[in-house]
Amino acid sequence: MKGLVFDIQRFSIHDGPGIRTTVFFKGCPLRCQWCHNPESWLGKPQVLFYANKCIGCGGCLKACPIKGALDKQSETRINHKLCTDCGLCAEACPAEALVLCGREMTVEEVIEEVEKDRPFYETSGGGMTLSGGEPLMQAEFAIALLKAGKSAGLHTVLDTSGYGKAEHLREAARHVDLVLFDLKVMDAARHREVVGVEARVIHDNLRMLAEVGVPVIIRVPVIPTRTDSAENLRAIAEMAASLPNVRQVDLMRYNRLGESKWQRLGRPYELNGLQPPDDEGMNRLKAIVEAEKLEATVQG
Amino acid sequence: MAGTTEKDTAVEALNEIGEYFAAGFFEDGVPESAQAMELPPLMRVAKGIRNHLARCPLPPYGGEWFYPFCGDVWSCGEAVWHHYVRFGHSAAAIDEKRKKASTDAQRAALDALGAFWSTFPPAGGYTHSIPHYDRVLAEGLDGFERRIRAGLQRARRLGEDEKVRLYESLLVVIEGVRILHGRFIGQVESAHLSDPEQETRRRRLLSALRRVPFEPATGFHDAMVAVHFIYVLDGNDNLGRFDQFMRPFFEADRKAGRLGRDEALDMIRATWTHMDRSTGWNAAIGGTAAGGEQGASELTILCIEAARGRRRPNLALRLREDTPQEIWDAALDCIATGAGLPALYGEQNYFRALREAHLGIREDDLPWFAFGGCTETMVHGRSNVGSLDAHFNIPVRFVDVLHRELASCGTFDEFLARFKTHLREEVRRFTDDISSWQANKARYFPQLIRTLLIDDCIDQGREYAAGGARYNWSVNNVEGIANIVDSLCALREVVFENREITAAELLAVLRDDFKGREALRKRLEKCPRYGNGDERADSLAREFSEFIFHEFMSRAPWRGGRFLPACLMFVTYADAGKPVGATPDGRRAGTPIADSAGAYQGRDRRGPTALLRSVTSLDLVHAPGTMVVNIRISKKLLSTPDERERLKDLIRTYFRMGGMQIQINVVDQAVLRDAFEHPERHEDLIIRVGGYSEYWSRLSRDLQLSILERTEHG
Repeated sequence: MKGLVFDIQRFSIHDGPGIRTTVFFKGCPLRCQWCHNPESWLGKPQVLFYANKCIGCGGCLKACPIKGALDKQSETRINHKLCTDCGLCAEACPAEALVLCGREMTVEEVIEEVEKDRPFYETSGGGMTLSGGEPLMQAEFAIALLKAGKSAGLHTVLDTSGYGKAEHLREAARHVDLVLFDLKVMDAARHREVVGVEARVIHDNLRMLAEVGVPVIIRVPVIPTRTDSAENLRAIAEMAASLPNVRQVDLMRYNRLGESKWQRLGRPYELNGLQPPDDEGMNRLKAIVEAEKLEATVQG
Repeated sequence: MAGTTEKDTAVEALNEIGEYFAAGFFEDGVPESAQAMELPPLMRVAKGIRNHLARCPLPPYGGEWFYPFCGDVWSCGEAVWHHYVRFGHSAAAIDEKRKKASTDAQRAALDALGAFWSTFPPAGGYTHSIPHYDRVLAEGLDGFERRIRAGLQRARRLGEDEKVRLYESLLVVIEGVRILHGRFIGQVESAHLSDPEQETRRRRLLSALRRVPFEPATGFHDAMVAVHFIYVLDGNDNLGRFDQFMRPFFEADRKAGRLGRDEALDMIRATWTHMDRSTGWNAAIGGTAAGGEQGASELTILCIEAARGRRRPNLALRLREDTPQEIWDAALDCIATGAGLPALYGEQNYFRALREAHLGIREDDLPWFAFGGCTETMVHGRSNVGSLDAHFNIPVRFVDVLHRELASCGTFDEFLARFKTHLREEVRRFTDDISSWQANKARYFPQLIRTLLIDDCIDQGREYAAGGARYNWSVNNVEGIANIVDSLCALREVVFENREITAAELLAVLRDDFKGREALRKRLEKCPRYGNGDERADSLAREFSEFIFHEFMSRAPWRGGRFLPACLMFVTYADAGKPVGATPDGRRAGTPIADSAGAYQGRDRRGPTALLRSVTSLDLVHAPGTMVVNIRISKKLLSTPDERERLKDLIRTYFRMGGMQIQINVVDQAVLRDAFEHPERHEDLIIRVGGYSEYWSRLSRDLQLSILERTEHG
């Protein structure tokens, strides 16, 4: 079985305990306005262009089979209307300026890569984390990978938006030691607006995980004007506090790393100019969470 | 030989123009040439040292803990100098002095000096070392003198003339040291200080100096004064296992309530400041105590605390599996200040490597391994390791073989075999040269200060350069392994496997330094690279390092022991790249080669775990001279306790995998970029390079650029 993976990051230290290797799945049903991995949305490989690496050798133009799909004059180089993301230009590019994001990998291939850092997991209590994109978009592959990880004796973490089929999540949860579960906006209408999908599915899934009994850490991206109201945080904390398998809420500070990626993909970034919240603001929200007798951390 | 009157005139003239060492050297006459004097010139050197110590200018005392503070006694502009490196002359300095000379006698003396000193044969490079401080603290130099006198009597009785000559000259050296000691006391005595705190320090220093270092030390303060004296006498080189040999004094005084933590910290800070400003080198702290138990203590923590934000000493922290959390915390706090200190050492791997090297190290000496200079491995107080006798630049030899042999090789293996054959011959020639330099050192350049301070020179009656130290091995820099591995990977893939380009075409491109062939250069860079945990590159790294380390380890230097490979390149990796033509790893001609044992700058792209996996693929166990690894970690990776714990996990795992040494730079890329554009705004920025830390503003532009290109992890 194969899955579409867009990155495997070693020495991941913010996606679960210890030193970990994070496998990023490509494909996501959500469309969060602040997404810092927008290249992970589409469930197919995509050609990306890094202008600062281009040496102007013209190898890509020779390799491209579609007239007009590559435009040397354009800042983003790729005409996404014509490009089929076949990846021939990326193959021809010696400078890694054109890169094919997303690679079909077997479970064995991923495990082989993850195994390379086993000594580091053993010292630190780390292991493998599945993230994305949304791993549940490739549920079968995700479950197979988690199973393989568990049978190899790895500590496994699933980092999910919670948006997926309940039976998939239930099955995946059987093979993980910890779930990192995103809660972004509690208000249904607002959720639809800034995230693009129904919050109800996510909330039902979170409650289901409580029934299963797998440990969950709630993660909240703190995005000014989008998710950072006291009211929203209070609602999140209340929900978290009602679940026996949740002890901790991580507040993830907004950063602007996604901005350039949006441009590269030729998508307008609605959050242009938005500043990351300051320490004071983060601590205020942290206090709201702590008021519910939960452990709260600030990250980023 | 010149007549008595002429000789006296020459000696007088030399003293007039500040050539104290030379004046003493010529006290018994001016020989025609180096070869015409009695060899080795033990008594001449002893008298040179005595005369120098009796006359060298001394700075005023300013109320510090120690004297002389931030200065030294060996460099006072002599054209013929004596230093721990050895002694020698500067023809340019002689010319300068000649221009300023005021009498004919002075000019004649300088002419004779130049003519005589140019007859010495070549004797090679550096010799960092560590005096046996603890023995001075226990016996006092008076005890040393008694051993010399006893040795002299025994040698006379047995008719061992060479030993007689050595002991007699050592007594002259001791006499010189006594004179210097008296002059130090005079300087401290005559200082008038209005600040009461300084005056208190002055009185304490004076009272300590009236006893140490000639009598044994009794408490922390006078032990520190004695150590300072010996450190200065040795030429401001290394402190060795400072926290181990000072610990009994520290703990006794602390327990008795005679020493406050802050006062101890203040004294250690003063020692570090002195080392920093006087271009001192290494202090090795932590690790196994003499009895085999964990030796890190409160004093170790003070040593680390005192090093925060500093460039030197080059603090080397030895770590064990059971090193307490407080030591780790202190170390990571210090590392977080960004100056790269302390460097971290996986002690168990040194024990293993030193045992496997069959250097004959006694089990009770093994815990006393420490470092000199950047990080050359030696045994505290008992070694003459000829640290960095020379540098073996592999890429420069590789390029040479490449252009001669590649086109006629049918397979990659054939090329690799020819390259190895060539290297084997080069290592033989290189090590033969070092041996001949060592022989010249013993014959022409005796080092009597070190003969005095390092075991077992006195006890064996053998001079230091002649092999009197208990351990004699030669640490040599083996440079540019990453470039070789990357280049071999590229050749294998592009020329031999895929046949994308012919050997002849590639050689032409390299000769043209990739001119007009940027796409090809980038293509070459895409090949497997050392530093990414990629088995295709790492297996070559393993094979090649086994080969080259074996070539060194299987040879014995003239003075004894073995040739120990190391890779600790300090700021030299930029210069080492200058003579190296373009290489198949995509490196342009004349640009820096890889820093020490790490990846080529910026080629490690898979994170620190992958980099360290590559490093541990090297045959580390056969390179106990120390393979230095610099890693740059982003500042944000050290901001929370959890993140620090992960960094600790990273290092501990690396040591469990066989890693020996790692130094961590915590400087953000934005800061570095700004420092590159505006060095004047970052005068205090300290960067870890090669084996130790240096001010950013002192680095060449090439080197700054190469540091900017290093991968930032985190």
